[in-house]
Amino acid sequence: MAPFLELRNHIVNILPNVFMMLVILSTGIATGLILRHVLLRLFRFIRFNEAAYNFGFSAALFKANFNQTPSMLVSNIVYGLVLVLTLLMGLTAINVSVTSAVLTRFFGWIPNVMISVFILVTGYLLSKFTGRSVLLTAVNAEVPSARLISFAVQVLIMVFAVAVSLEQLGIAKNTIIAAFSILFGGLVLSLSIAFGLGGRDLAKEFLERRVKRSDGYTEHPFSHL
Amino acid sequence: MRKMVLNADVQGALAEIRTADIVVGIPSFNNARTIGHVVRAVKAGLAKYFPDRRCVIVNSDGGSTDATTDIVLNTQIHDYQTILVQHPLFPIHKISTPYDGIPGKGSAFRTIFRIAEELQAEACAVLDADLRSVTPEWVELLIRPVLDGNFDYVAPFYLRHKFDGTITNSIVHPLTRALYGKRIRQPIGGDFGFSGTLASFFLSQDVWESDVARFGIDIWMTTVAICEGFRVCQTFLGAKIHDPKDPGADLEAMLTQVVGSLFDLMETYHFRWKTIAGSEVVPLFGFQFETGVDSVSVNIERMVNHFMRGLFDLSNIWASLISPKHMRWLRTISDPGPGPFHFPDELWVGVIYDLAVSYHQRVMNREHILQSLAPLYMGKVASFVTDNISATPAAVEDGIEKLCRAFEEQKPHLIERW
Repeated sequence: MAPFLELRNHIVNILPNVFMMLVILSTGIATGLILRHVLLRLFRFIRFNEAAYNFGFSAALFKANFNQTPSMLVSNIVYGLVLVLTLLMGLTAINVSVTSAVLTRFFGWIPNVMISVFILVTGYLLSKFTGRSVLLTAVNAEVPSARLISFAVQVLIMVFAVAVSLEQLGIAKNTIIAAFSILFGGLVLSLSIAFGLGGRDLAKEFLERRVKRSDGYTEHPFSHL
Repeated sequence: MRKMVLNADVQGALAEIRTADIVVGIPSFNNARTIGHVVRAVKAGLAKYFPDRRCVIVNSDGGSTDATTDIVLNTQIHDYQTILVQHPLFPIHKISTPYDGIPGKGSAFRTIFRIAEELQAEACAVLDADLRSVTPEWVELLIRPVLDGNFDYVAPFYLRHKFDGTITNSIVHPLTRALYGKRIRQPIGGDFGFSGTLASFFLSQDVWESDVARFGIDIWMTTVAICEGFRVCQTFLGAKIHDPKDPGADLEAMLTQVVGSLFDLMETYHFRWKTIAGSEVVPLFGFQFETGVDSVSVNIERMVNHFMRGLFDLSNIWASLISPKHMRWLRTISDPGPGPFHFPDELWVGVIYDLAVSYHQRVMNREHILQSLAPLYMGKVASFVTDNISATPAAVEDGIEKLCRAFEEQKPHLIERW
């Protein structure tokens, strides 16, 4: 009889906490849904999808087999984060000590995740912008393989951004640093050798054209303006 | 807007001169080789055609390190009779001063406008400091329409080689004509005449910390004069021969600056050009003549290759800026078959209007939009040269007139999409 009484007492004691957990969970789910709805409306108002298309996010998502629009993706990510947070807070309500520790570590980790995401997004935008600048300049300077040079610049910037992002998250820090150094250093060395030996004639022709221009030689025998 | 303050030396000179009827401005930067001739031509022109007027020559200098300013101040005409000119009634004053503000022709002009305003000048003119073909008659041709014709703005009309001024012929002239309804043949000529009233108006505008001060002053002056209701005309000056400003001047930079200024002005004056349909003739003064045409050797193949390379490497960027219909058309013309390469006028107009709309809507970084125009422009120039290799100047002008009409006809589509 006593064990049943003890069990009954335990259940009675824990019921308020369970009830609290359910309240927190339902509030959290409702909040998440409302927040997702508000974000979708806000993104539609500021034409976020159009901006994402112009920056190449939509193309990147399509290539990664994400069928959602950028606004839906961001809204769903926010919704998911709210759910996870709510779940952890709900578990805290029933006083599970392991959960409290996990929650503390989770909250401590969030700033690093946010900075890491910020670094990746900034790196991506910078790589697209710089790649486009390089492409346009190379095409207008009549440099062959303009697309290849542009792509190489984009890759370099993204590799750098990913390395910094992983370092921020503290994932295999030393391995990442070592791998990045080897890759980057090797790439620069290879490019130097390749262009130095293979691009001698090209560099000579390019420099000759620049020198001729500064000596008064004009490529076109008429004035454009 | 910060009001412009003239330095103490200039203020002292202005206090001494007090008023002037005519101010002729010459902006300069390291033009020691040519500015002496320009100053002599201006002095002779003022003495010959306006001997009874109070005249001032203003050199607005960008910090020359050669002897430009010394040459301006020391240049004299020792014997007016040898150039068949009488001594002027009033001495022709000269002021040489460094200009204040962002480095560029616009800032130099601002100083000239300010001095003209202080002296309450009735008529003004500005001339480039590197002109080799300037004559005393240019002074009369730029000033007389203002003084006697009651015009406020006098744009130049030069005699040019049929292949010269391709940016003007293919973009600036037809676009300005279609947008603002005035047929000014050379809106960015470089040498202008204007009234003191217009100079004060220019001065009152808050543009002197922008690209107008750096490189957009010419098209800005022309557009403002038209859109703000001032009376505009043109004057025939003959051939313009000058030292190339920079032989290594990058075509991409020139195109970016000129077209960027045009597109920026479209945004400023959208309320005006949306209501204008067609265009009207602008009076042209001066005795027109023609000369023989020198043949030039043009590397058409290289220009076509530049266009093709643009089509191959930049098609993703172009597809974001140009309508699908025009993109398909561009791909079609890239394969002309056995015939020569040809870039139709209608396609060129469509592309320019598409880029203007994309620029306005900031579809991507504006500098990138302007840079992407360069291969398209080279394609159009290649086609223009191919079509007109044996044509007379009159036939070339007919072709440009046809292009202008195409710009006017497609304007409703631009208005719809803006």
